[in-house]
Amino acid sequence: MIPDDVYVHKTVEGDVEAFNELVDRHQSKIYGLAFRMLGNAEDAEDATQETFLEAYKSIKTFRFQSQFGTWLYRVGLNTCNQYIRKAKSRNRMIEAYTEESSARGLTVEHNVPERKALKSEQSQVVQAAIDRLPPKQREVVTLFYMQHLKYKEIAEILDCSIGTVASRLNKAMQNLKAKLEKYYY
Amino acid sequence: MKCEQTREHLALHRQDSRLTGTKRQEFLKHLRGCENCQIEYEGLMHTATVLGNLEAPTPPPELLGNIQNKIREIHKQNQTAFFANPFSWFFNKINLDISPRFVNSVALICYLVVSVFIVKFAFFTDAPKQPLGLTAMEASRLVRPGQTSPSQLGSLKYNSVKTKQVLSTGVIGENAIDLSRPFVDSKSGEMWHTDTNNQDTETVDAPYLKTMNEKLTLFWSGIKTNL
Repeated sequence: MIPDDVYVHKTVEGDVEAFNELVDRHQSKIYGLAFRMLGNAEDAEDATQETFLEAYKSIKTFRFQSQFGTWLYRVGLNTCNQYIRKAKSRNRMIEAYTEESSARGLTVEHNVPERKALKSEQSQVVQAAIDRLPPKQREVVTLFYMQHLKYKEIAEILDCSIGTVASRLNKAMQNLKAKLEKYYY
Repeated sequence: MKCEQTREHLALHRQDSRLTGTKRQEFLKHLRGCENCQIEYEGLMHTATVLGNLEAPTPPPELLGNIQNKIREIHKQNQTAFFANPFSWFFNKINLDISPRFVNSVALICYLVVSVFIVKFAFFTDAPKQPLGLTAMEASRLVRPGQTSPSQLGSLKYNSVKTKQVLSTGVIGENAIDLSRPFVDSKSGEMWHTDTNNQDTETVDAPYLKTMNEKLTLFWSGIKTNL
């Protein structure tokens, strides 16, 4: 199998199909990350697309000091965090609208199509618990449990120490346990 | 080791690089003896198992094609970026992340400067230099026979040596000077005569003015037509 770096070099030289090969290789991972970070299929698709477009535009900044996959995860996480920030402001607007509507005697159903994307009930419950985690804890949980990365790789992606990763993961697990135990125990 | 310290490492004691040697042995010893920590540990292990068993979401089949098509579009845009905005292309080339507003402003200023130069060279090339003030007046009055007047503004008429000057005398009495006769500079020994508007004289710059007028007329009529 040809290493990613070869395709990165070709992309920098102007070979667009080389980058498309990288998209083919990594799209599942990035989609998985986006799905777990954002909690719905629609946003995950958009974030995946945006991640690859951003990576293509800034591929010249990739210095080959880490693996291309690690760098791509970093771009992906930045994109997801932007979506989370946007979603927060959108939710504030929805909440404001809901309050206004309830004052007028109206009801608003939101997140229905998003929740339909989650197949099983268990997945729904776990995903809902992940969604309620602070973004930094959500990042480490997703990378460790869903993407099966090692501490060192996570530390490299998040640009922090291994100790910080362990500490965040520990807190995230405590939080998740507290949120999930009423369903499972 | 106490419960609080143990719970810091409980979730990930297998992978935790902070937990080594004697610290690890103390942790395990506490865990074996503390029932509360064991319950907590089991709960965390169960959560970890639930997380680990989550199905990996599958991307929709059309996503790959969509991304690849978008990438191809961007590649095409990059190829023609130089012609669309050379400044933006240049800044991208040297990896300078400047705001698009600034790039566009610089581009606009440069285009304006270039346009001004183009208009200048198209309509005002070889324009005669015009001396100003007293210099111009002096130069227009005294012309060496056989030469064009040094003042292009005041002496559009060319005086040949043979041209007879029609002059009038403006001074009365003993100091009266006949301006129709050339006079000689006593210091340099050069001969001078006055420069007047004689009908016999020949226009030197007339062709230039004519061409320029035509160009300007064409230019303005073009603008009026466009408007």
